[in-house]
Amino acid sequence: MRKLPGTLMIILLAAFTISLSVNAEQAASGNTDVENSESENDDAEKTEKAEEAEEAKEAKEAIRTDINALIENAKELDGKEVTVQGEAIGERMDRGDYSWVNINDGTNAIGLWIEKSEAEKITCYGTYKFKGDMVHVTGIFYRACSEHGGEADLHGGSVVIAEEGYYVAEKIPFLKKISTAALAACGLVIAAVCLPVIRKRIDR
Amino acid sequence: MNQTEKKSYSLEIISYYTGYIVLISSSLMAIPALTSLMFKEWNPLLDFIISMTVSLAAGLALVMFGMRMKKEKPDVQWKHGFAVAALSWLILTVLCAMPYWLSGHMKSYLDACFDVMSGFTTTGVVLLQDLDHISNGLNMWRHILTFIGGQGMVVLALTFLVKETGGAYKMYVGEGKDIELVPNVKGTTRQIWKISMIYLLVGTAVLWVIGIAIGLKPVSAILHAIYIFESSWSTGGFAPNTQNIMYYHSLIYETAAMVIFILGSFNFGLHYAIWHGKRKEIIKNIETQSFFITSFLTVILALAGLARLNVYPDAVAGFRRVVFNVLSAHTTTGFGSIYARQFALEWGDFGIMIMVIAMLIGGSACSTAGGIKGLRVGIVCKGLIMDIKKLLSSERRMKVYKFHHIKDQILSEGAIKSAAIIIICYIATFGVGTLLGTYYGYPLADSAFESASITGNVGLSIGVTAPGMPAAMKVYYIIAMYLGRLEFLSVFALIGYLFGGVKKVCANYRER
Repeated sequence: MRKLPGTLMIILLAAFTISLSVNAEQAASGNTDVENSESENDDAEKTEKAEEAEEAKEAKEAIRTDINALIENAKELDGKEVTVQGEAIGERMDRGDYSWVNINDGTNAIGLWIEKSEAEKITCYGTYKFKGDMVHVTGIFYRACSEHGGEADLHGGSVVIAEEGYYVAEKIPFLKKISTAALAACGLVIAAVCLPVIRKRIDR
Repeated sequence: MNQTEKKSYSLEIISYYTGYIVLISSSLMAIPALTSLMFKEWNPLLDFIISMTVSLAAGLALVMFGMRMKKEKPDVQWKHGFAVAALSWLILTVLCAMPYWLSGHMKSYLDACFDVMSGFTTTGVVLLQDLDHISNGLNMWRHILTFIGGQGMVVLALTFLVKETGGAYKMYVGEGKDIELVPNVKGTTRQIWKISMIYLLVGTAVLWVIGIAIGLKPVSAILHAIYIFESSWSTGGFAPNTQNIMYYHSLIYETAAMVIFILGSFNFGLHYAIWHGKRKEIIKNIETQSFFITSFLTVILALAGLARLNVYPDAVAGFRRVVFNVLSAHTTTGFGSIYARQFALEWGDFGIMIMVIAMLIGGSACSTAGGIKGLRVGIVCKGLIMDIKKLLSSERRMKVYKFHHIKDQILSEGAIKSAAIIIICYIATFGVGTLLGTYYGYPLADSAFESASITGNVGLSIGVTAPGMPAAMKVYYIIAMYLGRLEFLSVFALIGYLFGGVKKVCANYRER
């Protein structure tokens, strides 16, 4: 019986030691988890920050697109800053301190609402005889602009002339010149022969 | 006169008058040729000289073939009048497509014919490529085609008649016009041109002033004014640039164009009556009543539908876009103040359906507009009311029902039947077009929108009409535009005449 308390004490001590060691292990593992979770949190934060930075960069850079894609994705791109490049066509229409410039990128055409000083950078507009300046413009796209009665337009900030316009010289094919002359001559002969006959018959 | 001789004269009558119409219409190529000369556009100038020479030669050949008829002076029958109208439109489409084709802006000759038929029928859809770089000469030609098409090539040719001929009225009716402003046809056609030319002068001047005010250069402003007037008055819908009416970014320019196309969609008889002091005609006329009711309903319904979808940020924007586009559709003009794809992507099925209905109803009879026409819609609606009233009233009670169109007219069963037949023809043409569109894989709403636009000679597009669309659809659309503008009967008469001829040739061959 005397040995019982001692045995119990040893068992309790052992149990205590084991529990301590388990706790220590648990504590150790717990620390590792904390350390792991801390490092994971750091990674997530880094990723988020990187994503945010990328988004900010993208926003800063604006979305590069074509005019048809603007119309096709008008709801998604409404109010966003976009970059388009197209040929200035027709002519500039000044409205006070601002101007309307129409650009066509081959997929479609859209109106740019830009400051007159920016519009003045464009000197050549596309017509039958001219290839207009290729304009690189970054601006806010509006699907249904409330300032302009619901029109889909682009409020431009900066205009860069990517390529200058030029005069397109007409080339008349030799065959066309010859056939015009031949047909015109034939036409005159036919008219000279037929018209008196018709007039004579009508008179009869 | 035996049967063979009669047959031979029929051909000669048709040939002579068709040639005469071709000669007069082809002469108009002198205007774009002069425009090209003024702006030193040498390539287009040669294109027009080539096209005009070939067209005049073709016209002259037809006149020469039919000359024997002048000597014998046979009767011009209804079938001749209808066949002349239908055939001259076909021949002129092929001939007038030459400058388009020679310009190098068309993918194929079929596309060139498509654009010419679109112009003549005042539809306004285009397959022409790189519109922003076409010459002033070709732009002038496009808009002249739509202006002449609006009044009618037969009307133009009859204006130049030296003396009245018996068949003039038959040809005039064959082109889908039946109003008699003065007792003779020559006088009536001259009155139609007088009305159009006075509006041309006033409208062009107004648009020119507005054009300068919105920032166009004076020379450019006058060209744009001529183009937009011709297109608006004839309810055509062509514009000199890719963006159509959006090119100008101007409410006042849009409003001026809208007033002109509404005026253009009214019956020439109505213009004539108002000019001669009968101002009440605008309220009493069944066509104007029908137009105001259907316009009001379609605009309100479209506004409600788009407000539900929050398409436009505010009432002003919504009102400006919806009123312009719905009225452009209703008058069969086809000017678009939004992009074609915005109809499909933003207006929703309800908005598209409203546009389809507006496009099919169309403008007034004997105007420059297409579609079923307000007169027919009014007559059929009144006929329905008449039948209901007859059912509810005593059998012994006899009442004559009337409608007012320039003068009071009796609402007869025959008038209702004629109107209903044409409505059925329009619906059938629209149905086949929709079916064809869906066969080629276009969505139902898009196919229906485009088919209604083509059948009603409107010209608004949802994006289906493009140079890359199947050739079968291009051919069908050409036929539908042609049928819709000539209101079926002339084309049916020409087809019947051709079938009759083929049948006789076959019978003769069997006898041999």
